[in-house]
Amino acid sequence: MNEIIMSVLVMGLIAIVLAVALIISSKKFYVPENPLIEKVAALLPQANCGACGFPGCAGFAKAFVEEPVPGMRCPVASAEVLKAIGEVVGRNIAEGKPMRAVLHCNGRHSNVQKVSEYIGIRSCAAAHMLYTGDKACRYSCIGYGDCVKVCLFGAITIEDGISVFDAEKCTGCGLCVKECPRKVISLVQKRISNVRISCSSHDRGPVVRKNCKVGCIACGKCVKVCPKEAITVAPGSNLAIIDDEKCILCGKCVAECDTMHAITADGRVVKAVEIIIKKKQQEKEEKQKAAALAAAGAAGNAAAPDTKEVKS
Amino acid sequence: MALGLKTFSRGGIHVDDRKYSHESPIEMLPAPKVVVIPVSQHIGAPAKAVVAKDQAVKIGQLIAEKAGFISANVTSPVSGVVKAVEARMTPTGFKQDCIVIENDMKDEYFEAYTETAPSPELIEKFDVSGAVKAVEKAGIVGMGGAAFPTSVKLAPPPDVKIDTVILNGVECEPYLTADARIMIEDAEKIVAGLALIMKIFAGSGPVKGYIGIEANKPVAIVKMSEAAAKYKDIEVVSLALKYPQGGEKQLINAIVGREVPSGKLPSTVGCVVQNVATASAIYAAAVNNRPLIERVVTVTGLGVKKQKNLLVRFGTMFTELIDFCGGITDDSAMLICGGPMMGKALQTSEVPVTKAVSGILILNRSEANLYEEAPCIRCGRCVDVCPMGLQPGLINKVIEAGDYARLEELSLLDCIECGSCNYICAGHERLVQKIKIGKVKLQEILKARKDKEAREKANEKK
Repeated sequence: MNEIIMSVLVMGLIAIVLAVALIISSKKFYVPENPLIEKVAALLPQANCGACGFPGCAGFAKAFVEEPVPGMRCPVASAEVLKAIGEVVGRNIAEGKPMRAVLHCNGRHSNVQKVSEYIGIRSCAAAHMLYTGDKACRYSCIGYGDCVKVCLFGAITIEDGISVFDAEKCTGCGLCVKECPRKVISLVQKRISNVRISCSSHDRGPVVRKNCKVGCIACGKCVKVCPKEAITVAPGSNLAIIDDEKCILCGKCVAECDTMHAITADGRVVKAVEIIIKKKQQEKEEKQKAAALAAAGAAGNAAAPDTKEVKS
Repeated sequence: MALGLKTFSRGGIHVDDRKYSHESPIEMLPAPKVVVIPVSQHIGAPAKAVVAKDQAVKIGQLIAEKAGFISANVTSPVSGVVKAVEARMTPTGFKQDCIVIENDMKDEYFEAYTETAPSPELIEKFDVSGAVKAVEKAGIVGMGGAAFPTSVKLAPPPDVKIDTVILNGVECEPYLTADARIMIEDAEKIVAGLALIMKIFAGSGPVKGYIGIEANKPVAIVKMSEAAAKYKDIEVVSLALKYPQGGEKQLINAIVGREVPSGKLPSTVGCVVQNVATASAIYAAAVNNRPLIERVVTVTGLGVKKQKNLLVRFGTMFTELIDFCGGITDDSAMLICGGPMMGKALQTSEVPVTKAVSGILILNRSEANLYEEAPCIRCGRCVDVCPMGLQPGLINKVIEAGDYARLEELSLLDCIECGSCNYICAGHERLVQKIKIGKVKLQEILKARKDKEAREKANEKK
């Protein structure tokens, strides 16, 4: 019994002495820090993704409060959060458009030819260094998930050999864009939907067709149909590119690209596209009907005089 | 070491050499109907094409001119008509600009060449002042595999003094036998080439020549010794069997016992290393004004019906070589350009032979078998075998953790990617592949730092 009391007493005493020492040192060696920094840091997403260019959210908060650089912003935080931070600091934080990542490739295993068996480490960077991974197209998404590994928000999954991005979860931090060795990921504005060229191949049309069912062959049909001149095919590039700033999400190009289906859309545009395609189908059928009628009529007219002649 | 043979001091592994094609003499492959010549067959800046479509060319005519200090000319290996200048698949695994020439089968030379029997007297009398220019004109590059422009190696900065020239006849990669066959069949020319290189460097003092050959090529050693006996200061060194003895730094260490400092060239320790095939090409270019149009390629592995050594024109498709060897077997599984240790796996055999292609290796299922990757057990064998004294296991962990900046202190850029660590690894980890990624990332970091420093300097000046 005695030993227990003794040990409790000794330990307690040590605890008290240390506590006093801690209290004194915390008062004496107190480093005054701007309380705003803590508040700002608490509001930030705490993903520590580094997309702002500072070492984590705390680093950004410190820099924003103490020595702000014009234009610095958190690309991940939503507009409300940015507003709240602005209120705390009393100075508006630069507001950028919210962005999201999209993949410019639809090289699913069902679409693109498989030409070899890759048996090295499962890393896009390693496969890219060798040649084309196991797919025939050397511009395609390799699908070994280097982007999945860097994504801090769990927004990317690998489905059937390509990366699939969750628009809801994606914050547009851009880490995957930096990591991708093929450069098939880009950032676009976060809107109700998105229209993109699902291909990055600079190969010529016949080569693309040989390699992939859904590649861009740079036929230029989409360029003609776009009402805002948002789509361009740079000479020699063999690839259409949509200017996301100009795109109004009308979906006409998606419907127009009916041979290769290299332009894809998500969100609300999908429905618009369906309507456009249906309309086109109807028009086509009507035209066919009219043509058939005209042909029948012509045949009838041509046949009639003959019979008359025979009769007479 | 066994039998008291020389070898390099640090690391190294003993591999089964599998030289199946060692006994088969060099066969001449008929020139193909169409050749595809990449403009970049060497380390450094790609050459610039100087011919256009439909232009007639002859053998040895310049078709792509060197662009930059470290670069090499490309000459036409056939006479005929240029069909196209376009991007084609090359043995690097990527598409590069290539000059496609249709062969008219006339084999007309652009410039006349001579045919002289190599002898010590000939080299003694030969004026070497134009030799480096001739080598540059012929577009000769290191034919051991790295393809470093030879004219650059032969013209070091004036403050560098070369006292040792080493010919590399080691061929330590398993399977490959091209160099061994050249040494057996063309020893005189190789030794004359070495004497010529020594004479180029002789201006600044006496130069000693060595020819390093591994002990598994006894015939080559005998032939080369016979040829070398006629010359002064040339010695054939028989080396113990150990991989990667053919590495430049390892070979210097094995023969003259010098250590090339980290990040430095062999010339800092007064050495120049050339491949035996390169020496032969230097002789042909400098003395006989012959362009570099062909090389010996080993087609081997158990995935091909007959293992052979072929003398082929540059630009011949791999497919033609393989067909000449009877085609592939039913259980062939993997196509590699180069040897099994450092070669590169290819996706297609529709690629041309370039100056750096020493072998085409086709493995069958059992040879190409890869073990399942297992975790590192920290046995440290990779550290034991690393010929550069690095810690591959630790480097691998650092790369996996993404801590790329730390790779600098681990001297990653010293890695010669020989694959010894990979070979010995108890966990069968793909060490070299990860190290290659790490190298790229580290170089990015170093470049970013350099750019930043340059920017800051510029700012200070303002």
